[in-house]
Amino acid sequence: MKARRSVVLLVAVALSGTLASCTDRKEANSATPEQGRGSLYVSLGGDDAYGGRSGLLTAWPQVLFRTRLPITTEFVNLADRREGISDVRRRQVEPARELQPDLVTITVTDDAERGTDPAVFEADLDAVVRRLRDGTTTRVLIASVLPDAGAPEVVVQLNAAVERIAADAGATVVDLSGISATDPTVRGREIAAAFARTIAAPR
Amino acid sequence: MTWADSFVMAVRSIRRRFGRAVLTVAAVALAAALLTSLLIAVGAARSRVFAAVSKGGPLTGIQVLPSTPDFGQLDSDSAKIGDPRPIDEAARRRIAGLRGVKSVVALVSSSVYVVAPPPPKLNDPSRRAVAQVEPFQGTFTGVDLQRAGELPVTVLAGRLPVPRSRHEVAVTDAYLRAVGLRSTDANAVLGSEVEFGAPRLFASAGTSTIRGRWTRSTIVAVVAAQGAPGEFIGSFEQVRAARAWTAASDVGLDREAQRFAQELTGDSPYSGLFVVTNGFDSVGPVRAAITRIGFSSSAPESLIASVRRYSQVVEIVLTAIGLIALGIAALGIANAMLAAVRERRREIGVLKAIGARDRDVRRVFLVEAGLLGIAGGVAGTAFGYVLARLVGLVVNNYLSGQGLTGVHIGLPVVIVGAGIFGSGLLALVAGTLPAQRAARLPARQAMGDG
Repeated sequence: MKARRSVVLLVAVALSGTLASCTDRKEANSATPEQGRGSLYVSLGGDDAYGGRSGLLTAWPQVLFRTRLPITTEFVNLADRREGISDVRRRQVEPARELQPDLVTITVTDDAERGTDPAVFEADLDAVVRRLRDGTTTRVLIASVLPDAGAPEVVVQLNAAVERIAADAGATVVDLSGISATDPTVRGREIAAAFARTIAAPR
Repeated sequence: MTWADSFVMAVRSIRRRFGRAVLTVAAVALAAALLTSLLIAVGAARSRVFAAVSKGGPLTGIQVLPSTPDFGQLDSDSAKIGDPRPIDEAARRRIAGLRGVKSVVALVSSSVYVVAPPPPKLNDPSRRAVAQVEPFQGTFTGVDLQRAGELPVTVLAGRLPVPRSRHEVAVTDAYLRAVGLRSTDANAVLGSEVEFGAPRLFASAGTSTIRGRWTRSTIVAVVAAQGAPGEFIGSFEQVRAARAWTAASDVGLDREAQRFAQELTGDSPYSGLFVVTNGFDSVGPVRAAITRIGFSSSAPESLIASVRRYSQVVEIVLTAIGLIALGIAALGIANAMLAAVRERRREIGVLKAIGARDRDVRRVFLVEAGLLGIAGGVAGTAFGYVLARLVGLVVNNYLSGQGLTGVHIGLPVVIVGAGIFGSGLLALVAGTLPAQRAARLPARQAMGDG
């Protein structure tokens, strides 16, 4: 009697399993589609931002974009080899404005190297930041001049100009005084980290 | 005598001769299992072969290319490409309006600069991992991912990007080759991030520079794709944004710059169309109409027709083997029922003596045969499915080892129905002769012989 019950039970289980497997189960896709443009980050500046020494794809703005910014961020690097702030004013600002970026970073190491007149530097930088900020909500970050970028007195003067313009035109200064690495790739990572800290800090 | 009485008597008879009933059911079950597993295996193999031939897309698909058709286009499954000819929205609509066309899926491609992540560590010690993946120029194809089921795309690993996603991407075998991997390494790239740089010319202060618009995307799938050129497949939105960026280049009157921008975006708004027809018979006429409109096309219609013919032959042969097994099982049922008639002559005589008619006696034996057949059909169909799944596991294990998509072992309702009710019907046919013999047995002879 027990054996017969077991046989009946076995057949019932087999049948229920068979019928249950007749329906296809499709994997539910719970991901949410992301739509529209993400935030746009534009980098302006000279050799260090362009990647003249480290390589274009390991330039610090590219590293910042790759490792520190959300995946939804789009990035355009308008910096160019050996360009100072006057070149940025002349050739990079208008294309940057047209792109309507959410974030702009400016580094001006080349001016310290070539010893640009601080007054001229200040005027050009002021024009660049005001043009970027004029009628926009663009966040502008200006890096302080790297300590080893030029003669100490030039670095001090340029940094003072950076501080003044940032305060006047509503930009934020990124302090690079602690950057000590000499290897271009490591240095790029350190600069990117400094920018990331400033971006993450409350405004 | 009612149907319920016949049923109760049949069940009692089965219980009384339980051992023989189990053996009879087992014979039917084995035959049904053989037929079920063969049909499931044939179905799975056929769909796998068709999926391979059509690259996972519909069998009735036609790929349309942005070029005029060359001579002899319709005699060949492959595209015979003539001069370039853009596929614009008007052309897409015209093709979509052709008789026999079910749907048209547009493809958009863009040339992008690709920075791949560092190569993954491989478990196979015999293979040396690539130290560094060099950036390369690749092709990114955008499709309407909501209609991905209509495209010849087979997912080898992961899942397709979410429709309209701007940061998820599927990669093809071409990407794996570009980063020094094989199709068997598909799972290793899932979850990694790729950077795409769409180029654009900037003219400022008298000089031109090329600048990239960089985006990042997560690899969520490795796919085999036909008709979607290049290494990447993503949403329309992703590719259109990249094309728009490149198309906005400051070219002015600089011919070199104009040619550069044109080469990157191409002349054609759509890089191709994938046309799905209403049926396999519509593929030829629709291709002819597309050729008349002036576009080259490709469709594996000759290949699929050949595969269909061969698969039908295989199906007929295997079904015949299963039916022979069922026939043998039917003989077993007939034998068991004849033995039962012989053993139950006295019982039949008593039934007739108390007023049972011939048809009442016939019904008792037919119900018994039917019950044995259905029980065998249920057990056999279930066993056949389990058998097919086990074979499927072994086959899929082999296919995944080869970097190929596995087979899907499903159980169509038709096979379940045919397995159970076919076995029952066969048992009824097999039980007809014994039941007839029992019904015609005269009461006196039955009692006397007993």
